[in-house]
Amino acid sequence: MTALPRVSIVVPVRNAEATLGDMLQGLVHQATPESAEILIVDNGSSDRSREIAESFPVKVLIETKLGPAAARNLGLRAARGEIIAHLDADTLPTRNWLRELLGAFDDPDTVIAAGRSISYAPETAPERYVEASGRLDVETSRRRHPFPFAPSKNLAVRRTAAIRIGGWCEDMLTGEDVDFCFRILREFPGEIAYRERAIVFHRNRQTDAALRVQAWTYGEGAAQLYRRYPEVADWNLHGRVNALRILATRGLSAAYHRAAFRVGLCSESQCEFARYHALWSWWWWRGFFSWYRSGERVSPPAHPRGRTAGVQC
Amino acid sequence: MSSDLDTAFALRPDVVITVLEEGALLLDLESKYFYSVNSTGWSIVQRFEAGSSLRAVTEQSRDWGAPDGDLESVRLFVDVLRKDRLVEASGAIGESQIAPPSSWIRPVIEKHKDPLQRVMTSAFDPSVPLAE
Repeated sequence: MTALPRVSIVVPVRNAEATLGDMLQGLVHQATPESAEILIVDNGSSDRSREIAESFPVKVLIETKLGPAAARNLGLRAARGEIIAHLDADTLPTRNWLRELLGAFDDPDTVIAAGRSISYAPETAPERYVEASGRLDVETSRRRHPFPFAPSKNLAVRRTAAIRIGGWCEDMLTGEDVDFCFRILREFPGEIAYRERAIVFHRNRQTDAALRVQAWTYGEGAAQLYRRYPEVADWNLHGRVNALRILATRGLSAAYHRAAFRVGLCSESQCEFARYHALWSWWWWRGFFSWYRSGERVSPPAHPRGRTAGVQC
Repeated sequence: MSSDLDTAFALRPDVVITVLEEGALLLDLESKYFYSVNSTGWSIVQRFEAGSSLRAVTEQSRDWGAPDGDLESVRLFVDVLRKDRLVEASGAIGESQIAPPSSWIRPVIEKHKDPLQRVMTSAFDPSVPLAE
């Protein structure tokens, strides 16, 4: 009889041929052998993702319902480990990632744990922006009010707890990790344990267009959360004023830094950051309002409109 | 730097590594710089995970098929690890089971131009970082 693995690593995959091989190399070359099974859930890929996955010692599952939540739920149902660890296909686990992450569960009270995400060798302006914005900072996100969360790109949870809350919400096309963490913490009050040395590298969006789409979909996910949990996240006048404040200050900041850079009063990196911060906010809020008004997914416009998108350093 | 052939060195705990299809990526969490190494370079770096010396690495490289003409590149590779403080002096040479590179090529280490970005704040926007 085969011994049960301690941990099941579940990775949803959709058209990830560019990154999947490196991710799996990192996974199968962990420094310390752990009792683990790797479940790759293909979510309708039309590229070589499945073929790449099958060339590694992993179990490949197929989920036809689109969305990472559906893929993770299939992995959850198939998993045999007492702990489920999640990665995304565009991450690269470091050598001690799994050992460090599992260390959080030495405490029997730990239900959910997160590791640290670091940008993979940023080279383009959008990649640099995501790192500089602190958007990957789990130390901040796991304490964020009213939705403390750990990104699903580097997250582990006890299987019994995940099953008890009914798994991942398949209606959430983005922000499903925020929703998952919210329901876990509601059922099991406490904190998301944080393991600073459980590091994965994350390949950020490389182009302006990809960053815009990401901001838009994140905004949609946030709007879904507001509609789903009005008792904790009421969208009211204060929220609208805050949205206007954010858009105004970041738009002004981009214009100011652009002018300041031209006369040597700020660095190129500050100017670049301000520009992308405005761009991100513009598209994030457009995605937010798009979903909040219609309650359904609308593709972001193909071409940028609005002043911030055209600002150049 | 290479005169002390038998001095043992080991990777600093602040150096984190991910293995890629071709080689590996190293990040020094202290300096914030990334380094790419090719497949042979990754095999050498693995020797330093448990602790190793230039002499031990050179002998291992010979076993892996390195011609004498390539041993200088091994020395230069190790010199970069030491000069950039990716490795530090350690007490002893450790035991490690390392799969040899599929075929010998000269080890290469490349330091990336830009360090990891630091989180920025702005007088206009003291609320950074935010998800919005």
